[in-house]
Amino acid sequence: MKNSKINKKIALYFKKRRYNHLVKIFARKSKKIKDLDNACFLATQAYVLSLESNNPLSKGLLNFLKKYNREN
Amino acid sequence: MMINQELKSVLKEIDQSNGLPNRNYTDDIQYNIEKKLLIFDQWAGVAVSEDIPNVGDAIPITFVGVPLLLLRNEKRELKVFLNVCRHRGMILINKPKNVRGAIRCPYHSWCYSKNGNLISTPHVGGPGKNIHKGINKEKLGLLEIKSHIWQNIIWININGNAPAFENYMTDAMKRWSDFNQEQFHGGEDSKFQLKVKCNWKLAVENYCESYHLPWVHPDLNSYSRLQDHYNIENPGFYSGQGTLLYKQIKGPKNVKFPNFKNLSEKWKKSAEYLAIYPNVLLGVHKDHTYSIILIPKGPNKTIEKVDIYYSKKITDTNLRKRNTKQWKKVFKEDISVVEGMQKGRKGIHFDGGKFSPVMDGPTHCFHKWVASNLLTEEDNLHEKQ
Repeated sequence: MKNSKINKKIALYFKKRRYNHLVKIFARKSKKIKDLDNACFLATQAYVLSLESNNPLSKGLLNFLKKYNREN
Repeated sequence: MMINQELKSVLKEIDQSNGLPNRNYTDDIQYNIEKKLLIFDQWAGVAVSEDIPNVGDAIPITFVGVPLLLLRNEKRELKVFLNVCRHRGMILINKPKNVRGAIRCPYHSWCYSKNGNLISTPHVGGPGKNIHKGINKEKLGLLEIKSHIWQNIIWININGNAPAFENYMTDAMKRWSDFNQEQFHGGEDSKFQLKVKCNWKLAVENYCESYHLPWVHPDLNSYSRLQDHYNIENPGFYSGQGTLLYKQIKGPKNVKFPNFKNLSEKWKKSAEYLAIYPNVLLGVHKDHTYSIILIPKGPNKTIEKVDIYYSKKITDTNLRKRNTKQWKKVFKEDISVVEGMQKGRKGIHFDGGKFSPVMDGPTHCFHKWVASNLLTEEDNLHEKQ
């Protein structure tokens, strides 16, 4: 999927507060990116929204961020 | 100096004293002084526990100008926090909701648990870096307001400087210890709110005396006469009235609300009505209780939040509706007098009024509490100077 299309989706999901969809998108994007800072940025987005929506992905995301000393 | 003299006059014996001066009911500056001394420094009622029934329920409320968040955590405990993010002071929750996971600030997404702990500070150390040595999450939880539940009411001490609730409320708790048992909210048909155009203190004053009953509530007086009432005064804490002849409401076929368990003899015929200072008005009867929380909205605006409780979870719906209707009628009858007194406080030569030495004891008791709290602050200021 092209970036512009994903960005539109992200904006829409934020507007509609569909946080579980956003968690999935950000987590998937984070895994695909090789640059660590960018990956952690996207994992953070996913993690924070997973906390709010009580999404089960939060544990894995936290572990990933902890591994690179981005969360404690 | 003049102000002090007027307040000192309130403290005199009832037959020598005057009521509080006009400005205590009309003046914006005075309202703000009283907000601190009479509400934030005390244990004030803010809501009832039934307003927040489920785990995760989060109710934002502005109480006397302060944004609060009432929250039920995973242990079903009720917590009261400032509804403000520790980062930039953003309001966290705008409307009632059920929080499933964390509370996320809508501004920069700092996240808090249902216990108020700060659990994530996204990008605080730069993009993708969620920690920083200057940010100690343990010290940045939501600011908690001291709270306590008694008679289903959530009492809060905003400034955190009042004595422990059990010590502060000992006498009232002892007086009504028979009602220290499970009470069931009657549900949607057993709560309502009234908006009144008066200072909150006038609602207290009207509630705690029975002197007005024969004229303002003639229906009530037809079965519970003025002669059957007695004054209740506990200086510094509460005042009110009681009746020796409580007439239980009955439906067709003599259906009644069941009584509370193990009540002492006194409550078979009596009922009592206390104004617990500053802002909670309570009534107890053998078959139901109610609370009125006064929510000040300015020097001349108050909301009265009424909730009614029973001894059993399931009660007769029609009878319950009738009971609510009856109390609503009574409380509405009071609106014209409290609003009339508010208008009267614009009478520039009014001197606070003269109390009936026999009938106005509970009102004078409340005025003395107000005056002594205001004077203590004045004295403290003078000592510092």
